[in-house]
Amino acid sequence: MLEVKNLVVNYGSIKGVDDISFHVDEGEIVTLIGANGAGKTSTLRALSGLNKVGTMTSIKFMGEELTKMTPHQIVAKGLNHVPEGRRIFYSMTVKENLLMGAWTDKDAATIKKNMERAYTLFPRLKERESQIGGTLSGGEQQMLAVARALMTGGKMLLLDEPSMGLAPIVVRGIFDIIQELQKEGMTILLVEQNANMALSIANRAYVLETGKISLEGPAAEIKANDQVRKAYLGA
Amino acid sequence: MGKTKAVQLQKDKKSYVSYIMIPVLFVVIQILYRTEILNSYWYQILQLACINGIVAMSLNLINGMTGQFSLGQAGFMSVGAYTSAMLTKLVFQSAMGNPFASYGLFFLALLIGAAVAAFIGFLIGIPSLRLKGDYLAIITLGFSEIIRVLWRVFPFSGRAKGLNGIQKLSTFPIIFVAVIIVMILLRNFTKSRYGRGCIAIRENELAAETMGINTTKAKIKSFVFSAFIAGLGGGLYAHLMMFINPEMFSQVKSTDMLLFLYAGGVGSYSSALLGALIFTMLPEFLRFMGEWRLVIYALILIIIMLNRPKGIFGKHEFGFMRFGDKESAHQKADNGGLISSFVERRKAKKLAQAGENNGGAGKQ
Repeated sequence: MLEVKNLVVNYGSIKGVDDISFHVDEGEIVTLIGANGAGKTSTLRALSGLNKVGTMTSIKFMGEELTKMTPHQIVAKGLNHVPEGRRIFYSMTVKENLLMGAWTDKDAATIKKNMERAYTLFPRLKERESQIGGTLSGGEQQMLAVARALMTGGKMLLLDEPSMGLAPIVVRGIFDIIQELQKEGMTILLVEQNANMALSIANRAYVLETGKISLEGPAAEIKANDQVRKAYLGA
Repeated sequence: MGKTKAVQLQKDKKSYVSYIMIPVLFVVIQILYRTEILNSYWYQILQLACINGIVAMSLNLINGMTGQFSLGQAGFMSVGAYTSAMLTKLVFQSAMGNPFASYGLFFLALLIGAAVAAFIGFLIGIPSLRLKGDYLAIITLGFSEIIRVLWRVFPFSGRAKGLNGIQKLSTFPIIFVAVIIVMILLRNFTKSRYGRGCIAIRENELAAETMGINTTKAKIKSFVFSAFIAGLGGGLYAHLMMFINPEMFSQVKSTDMLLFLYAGGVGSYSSALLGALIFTMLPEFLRFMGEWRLVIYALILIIIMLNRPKGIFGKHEFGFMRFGDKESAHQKADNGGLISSFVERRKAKKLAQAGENNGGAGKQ
């Protein structure tokens, strides 16, 4: 579904992501794990058009080249980014936030359907429909960010650190929903620092180290790898 | 079922009332003027305040709704003012005879002036709005100074002397109608898909981008529209003052507009308009104090900003400017309106009093 070749992201003369290639197949959860500054977020931003990529880079999403597209064109293709740090619209209500997610959709019936789906996945948001985004708790904001991305009706989600700054029990809930989304047929690329959690729900994993992929394979295998256990899982 | 219907009816009635209020307000002001309770000096100030209101509302579109900071609204005003004044004074002069022709051509001149301002807004917006951050503030600040210097240089704009002998075509009815039309235009723009996109950009530009909003396009649209309305305000201003010179559109004017907007309440058109009305008239009320009035004026502003950082009226919209779903309690609290905060404070006071009555003994 997503095929990335020779991805390079430069920040001035510093290489954020140094020539990596990976792919995500339909219906998979693939996770990118790695330490701070390994280039995880840079990779996701490059995929959704928010970062400039190198000239040799090729990003193919369902057979289409994304490298020359602007962010809003990429969203219209069905590739949705849930950015790091939630970034909900603070003074809009939960409902308005969700409606913003349906920006590219003009059909009222689909919007309604997507809205109902979001509310079934996150009943908590239904309860807080008229509350303004800024007054939600961290976990609720993260739920809202995911629900809002789902409103675009896309086929693939790019999740950037959904566990950031959340209590373990809330993280568990978010990850359950990610698994549920997979069952519905959503393809997910998950970037996480919480490697343990990410590996336990993912099908495959890539380990990023200073801009390069140092290890790749099925999640279970990566989880069992000694190096990974030492470096990221604290065992 | 019956309850929702009642709520609906009440809501309809409310907007109905605010539409009725518009002609009533107009007639009241006219009666006051005819009976000379409102003398012609105050009548003039009121018209000036309305024009300031138009420009402050245009500033709200870009600063308050889209979250981009424009410091050069007076520049767009001057483009509108000079363009329309040159048209009525130099080009249309011979064609203007009967009132129909002169007002028709006046409207045309206003629209052309506004369109030219919008076009210049477009030229400035394209490079500066592609960037994120404060570049727009710097560029608009520079632009308003450049345009002021250009008016001083061009021979056809009267150089530093400015243009005089402009016909007085901006009358109170015209300005009043212009305010209403501008309000409706702005309301409908903000209510539209693009308007919602602009608000999303204000709240979080990156998130707006990931929602699939073409942020550059949305920002340019609202900037151009804002320039158009500022240009319209400028045209009305020129034909009200009957004289314009480059110094009228200096940085002070832009700052005044910002002041009206932020003191009134940024993020709301009705607050911007009320802010402009109040703060245009306030120095005139204080005129009896002589030179002290500017000190008092500044002091009042400081007190307002200390006590009501969201502006006097907050982010609330009034009457027919309010749109969409009814505000929830959370939104009301966030908007920080004058009336709701007053009610809130009274409630808290009552609650505290009740608490004191109940547990008064325990406290002592």
